[in-house]
Amino acid sequence: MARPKIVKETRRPIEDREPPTTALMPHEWLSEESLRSYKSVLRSGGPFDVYLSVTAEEKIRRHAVREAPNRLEVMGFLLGEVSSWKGRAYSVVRDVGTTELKSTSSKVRFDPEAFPKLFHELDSSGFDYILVGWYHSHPGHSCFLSRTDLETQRTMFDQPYHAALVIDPIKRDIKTFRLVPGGYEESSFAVFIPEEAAARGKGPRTRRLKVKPAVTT
Amino acid sequence: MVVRIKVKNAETGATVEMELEMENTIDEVIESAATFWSKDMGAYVLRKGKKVLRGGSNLNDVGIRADDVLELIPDPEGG
Repeated sequence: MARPKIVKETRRPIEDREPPTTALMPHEWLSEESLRSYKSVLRSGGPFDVYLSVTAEEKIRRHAVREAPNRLEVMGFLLGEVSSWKGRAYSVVRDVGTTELKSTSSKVRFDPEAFPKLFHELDSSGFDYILVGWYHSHPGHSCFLSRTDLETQRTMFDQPYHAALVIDPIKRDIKTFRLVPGGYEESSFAVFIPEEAAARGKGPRTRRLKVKPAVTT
Repeated sequence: MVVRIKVKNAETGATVEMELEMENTIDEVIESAATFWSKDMGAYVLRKGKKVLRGGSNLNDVGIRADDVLELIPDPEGG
């Protein structure tokens, strides 16, 4: 019997598109150094490496905070799309997807029996997503990529636009990272309110997030 | 009987069209797609809709039909 044969590949093009410009804001958990980087990108006119919708931000933060008292890590996928602007690729995270986990204070994986729920969440996103990265928490350990995280990034998320978002719900810190030759580095990200959500008057949700207003230059 | 299916790479949105026989196994499908995209097949699962397609089952066993679109999903580990 013959092995499967691949006869054609169709790649998704990365289109030139202006990144979100409405209601950009830094995450309120950014460190001083990360905030300086945020302001620098904002002054330069961007684009940021990652644009995180308030919907995705809220889900990630609540997920991490919910398990913080138990010191359990959480994890999920970042669902979005990739575009380019000024010759630079950037990703827009519109939603996240996760499921039940097998986790401790220092390890996390999807529960192998819970993939159907994960797939349901992916389908429920309602758009033709790309997994533009993944998020997980380091409860009390601060934000960095461990050896395991780096292996995951290298194995699965090795494109320039792929992000690893790490959140520490105890120290209230959040960072995004990307691969670079020889290792990894912190990348830039901004939180944004999608135009359609802003038009629907999603003000209360934004206030609940307690995010800082956009920095003026 | 040779059929053609599509496999989507969830990490990039790329899709491959694959020719195979109904007796081919899910592992062979994952291996072919993972190898094509230079991935470690052990770090991925394959899905059809909300169903995980596992291991040594062949396409007949799991109800794959011509023109089905499957998706290669990473199974990450954080630490």
